[in-house]
Amino acid sequence: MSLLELVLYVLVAIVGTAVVLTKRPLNQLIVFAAFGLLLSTLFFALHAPDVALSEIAVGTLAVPTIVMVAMMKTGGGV
Amino acid sequence: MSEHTRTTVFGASAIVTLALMLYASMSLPAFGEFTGPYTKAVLAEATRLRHVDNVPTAINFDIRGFDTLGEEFIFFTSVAGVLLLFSAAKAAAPPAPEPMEIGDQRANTGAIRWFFAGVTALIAAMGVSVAAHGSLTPGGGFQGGAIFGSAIVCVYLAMGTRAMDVAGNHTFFTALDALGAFSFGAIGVATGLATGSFLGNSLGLGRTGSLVSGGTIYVINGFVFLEIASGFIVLLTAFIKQMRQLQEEQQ
Amino acid sequence: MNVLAYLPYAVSFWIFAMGCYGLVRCRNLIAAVLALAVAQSSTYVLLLSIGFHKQAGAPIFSPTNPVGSPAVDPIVQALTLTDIVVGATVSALILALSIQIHRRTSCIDPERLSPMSE
Repeated sequence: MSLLELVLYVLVAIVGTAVVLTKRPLNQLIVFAAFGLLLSTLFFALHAPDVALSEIAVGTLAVPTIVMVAMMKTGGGV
Repeated sequence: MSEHTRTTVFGASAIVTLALMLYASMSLPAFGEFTGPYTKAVLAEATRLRHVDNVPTAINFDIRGFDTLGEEFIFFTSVAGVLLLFSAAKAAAPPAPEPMEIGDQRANTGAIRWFFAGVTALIAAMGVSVAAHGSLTPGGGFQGGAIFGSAIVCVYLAMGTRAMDVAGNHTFFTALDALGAFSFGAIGVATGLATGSFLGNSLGLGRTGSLVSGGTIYVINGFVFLEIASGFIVLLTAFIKQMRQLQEEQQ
Repeated sequence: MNVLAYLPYAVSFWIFAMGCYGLVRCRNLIAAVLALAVAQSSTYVLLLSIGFHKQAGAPIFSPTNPVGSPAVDPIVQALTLTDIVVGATVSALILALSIQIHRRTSCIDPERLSPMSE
């Protein structure tokens, strides 16, 4: 297993833990967007460009927008 | 039970489950040593049989097209559920007064609005391009539709809610969404009647490497793009309009 | 035993456990949705790790990468890419439900919300 894949896997585990352990939902959302970007980099390293495209397209714009609107409507996260 | 008890119970069972899963994963092939016979067969034959260079697209829309049909109906149902929830909420809320222009243009300076206006066209064109080249390069209906649907947020950021309503016309895009979902199933039935197997590829296959290749793969790709793009447009518009309702409630 | 050969599977199980932990410990339905999304992404990592093949390229063929050159598994990629898009939409449905809950009860703490109380 090459160094790139090893580093990416360990980073994915760390950032995934960080998403769950962050305190406020607004901060969690930002870490989640970073997690999505890191996941798509891992998918590229695993020679899966279709999957990486999917993850970028969905995880950087659609999901954060929806979660942000939901946070504003429910008053939580601030 | 209290939160502390719940966490303790979860911790104990998580440790046991993790240990069991790790033990079970040892009988998997080591990372990088996958040897599946179905994989070898698909990789050897997909391009020859279907004249498509992008093998996951061929798998999605032809070889395992039935699974994709199910996923598409999950997508359609979720979007319909979100719209239903929001329209029921709108019926339950007190009728809002005629919305004023204040909330739309107050914070965006000219530079931001021009930037997003330009970027919208780029994103939409890129979405169409990714979807249209689905048989040749990484991409296809799902990815292109998600990219295209995200352009509606840029319209909102550029020009406010009214422009978003006009660009993402609700009736038009919900009709397009339904058309896309229906057509996938209809093509399956039609090819079933024509060739005797559901979603059998019966159109001309085209030349490998040209834009239109793969027969029904290309047609289904187009309809999936329509459905995913319209679904995302309708979904994002419904969510952003909730924010305008929030601004009205605050006034 | 080569630990590195089984690290990807361990990472995927760890992320799944973290997602479940986030569900158990959340004080806010939005945090629950994000934890659920993290748990979902662990399945994508597991699927793609199983299908990986060393010294193999992407399963996209072209005149410079002809059919017959080694490639990673395309079937798990096909499964995963539809699942990502659909999973985002299901998260949107859960978030719409939580907006409705807040509208009715002004509270989105799953501990204080109970199906039997009103």
